[in-house]
Amino acid sequence: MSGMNSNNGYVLDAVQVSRNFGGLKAVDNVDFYIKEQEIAGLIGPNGAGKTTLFNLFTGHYQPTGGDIFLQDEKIGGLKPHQITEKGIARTFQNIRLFAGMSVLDNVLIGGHTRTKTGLLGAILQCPGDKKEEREAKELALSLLSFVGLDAKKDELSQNLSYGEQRRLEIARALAADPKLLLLDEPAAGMNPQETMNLMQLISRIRDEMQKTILLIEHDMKVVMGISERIAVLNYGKKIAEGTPREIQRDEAVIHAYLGVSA
Amino acid sequence: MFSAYYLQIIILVGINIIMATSLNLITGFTGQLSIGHAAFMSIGAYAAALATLKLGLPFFGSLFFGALLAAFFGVLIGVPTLKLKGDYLAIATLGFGEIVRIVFLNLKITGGAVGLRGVPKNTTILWVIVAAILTIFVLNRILKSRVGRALVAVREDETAAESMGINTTYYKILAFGVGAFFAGLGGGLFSHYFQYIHPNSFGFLRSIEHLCMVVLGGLGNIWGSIIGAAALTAIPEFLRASADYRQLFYGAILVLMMRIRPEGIISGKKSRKIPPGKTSAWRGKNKFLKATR
Repeated sequence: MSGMNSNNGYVLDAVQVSRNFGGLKAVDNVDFYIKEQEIAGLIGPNGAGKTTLFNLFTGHYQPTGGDIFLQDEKIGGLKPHQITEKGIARTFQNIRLFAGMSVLDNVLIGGHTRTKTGLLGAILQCPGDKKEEREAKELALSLLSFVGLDAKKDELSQNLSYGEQRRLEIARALAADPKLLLLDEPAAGMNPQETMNLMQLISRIRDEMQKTILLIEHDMKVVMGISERIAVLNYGKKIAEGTPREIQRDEAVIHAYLGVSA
Repeated sequence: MFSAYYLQIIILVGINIIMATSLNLITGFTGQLSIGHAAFMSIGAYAAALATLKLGLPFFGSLFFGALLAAFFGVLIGVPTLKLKGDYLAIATLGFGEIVRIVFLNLKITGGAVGLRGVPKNTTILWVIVAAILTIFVLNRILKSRVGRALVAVREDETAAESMGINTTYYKILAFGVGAFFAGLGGGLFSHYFQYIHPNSFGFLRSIEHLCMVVLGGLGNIWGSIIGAAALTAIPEFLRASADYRQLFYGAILVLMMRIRPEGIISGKKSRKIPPGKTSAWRGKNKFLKATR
């Protein structure tokens, strides 16, 4: 986690990344970086290319131009499961839990890349495999108590409330022990109380677990409240970058959000 | 003679338990609808029989050889069909099953349309029981492990599974490989019991029969498949008393069962239980049921 091989201290560094869909430039020459233990925000009007950029980071899309580095290691073009193994874990805008599995199993699957037991190990259950399973369970339980879901570990994840499901998704992503945690609209659909709890949780993930976090969010109170640095996309281009205060005063941003006469 | 009849039913139940539980791994747990399971069984049946007849391998060696060859073909079919889902995959596995049947029907070494006869009767009830217990034991261990969780994750949500670092391609092939291995084992036991095998013993209808056992018992539940296999093997025998109406009753039982208890005798792990008040919407979310509608 020290980023010792990194000379610029960036956890993630996207260099002139582009993604075209036919003639549409969904992401157009975007430069973007995230520093170690930073909470960064990514905003922009609907269709600005935020989720596309996210999907480029996680390997769900391949960039059509530019490069993406995770601590100086090129990750552009890798498959999602390979990128997770390298150290990026994500949540989804429309919650994608394993609905029919228990809360605990969901988190255990999050730890898939941090465990090794294969087919033979599963059948023979050597001491090493048993130990790994035990430790994975301990870690999963500690993550569940971190997000306040330890009492619900045996429930089916589909039976959790909306806010709980969001938190479970975060716990599942944390189980992958990511260098970078990507949150795609974590506050979407939450009531004010749940939103407040979420903001506290995100801060705790950074402060107590020393994680680096990037979030896409529409709720301005959330983004402005917890991000240290924000990038703004519009029509696939990065139109501004800075502290929340700077972004709020940025002419181009106000223009993009409110229309012509800024 | 009476007891020989019951012995045969018990042996068939044992073989079908192996077939159903191994198919459940592919279809119930990993969510890959396969209706070509009998093809793997036939590969195991022929390979084991030929290993005994031509290579002179001991029974255990023949069984293992048959299972291994079936697993090889399981992996082979897994690779080109990976991108297919639900009904599309089902059709592809059906096609694969037909190809295997036609090949056996035309190969010289397998006796072609005459079938393969003269296989020694090595399969005893003890062999079947040990093989069935071994199958259940191994599948249970796989399912309770990291590997099993990954398989179920593929069924539940492939995109999310991929995002959690699961190589979904690898795990789908693995499910087909392991499932085919045990199907091949069942085939080897089959050919060494009946001493005569014919390609048409492993046709499309037998694959459907295996699928019925899995669905009737409960998708995603090993114990359900055991009960399903036992029930669907034994019921037609008990119905023999009703002679002409046998098949009719058999069909009626299937229809009624699906109407009354669509989730199977034992619903899958926890997942196949339909939560109260969520019936239709939940079923709409269910990948397999959706795929079959």
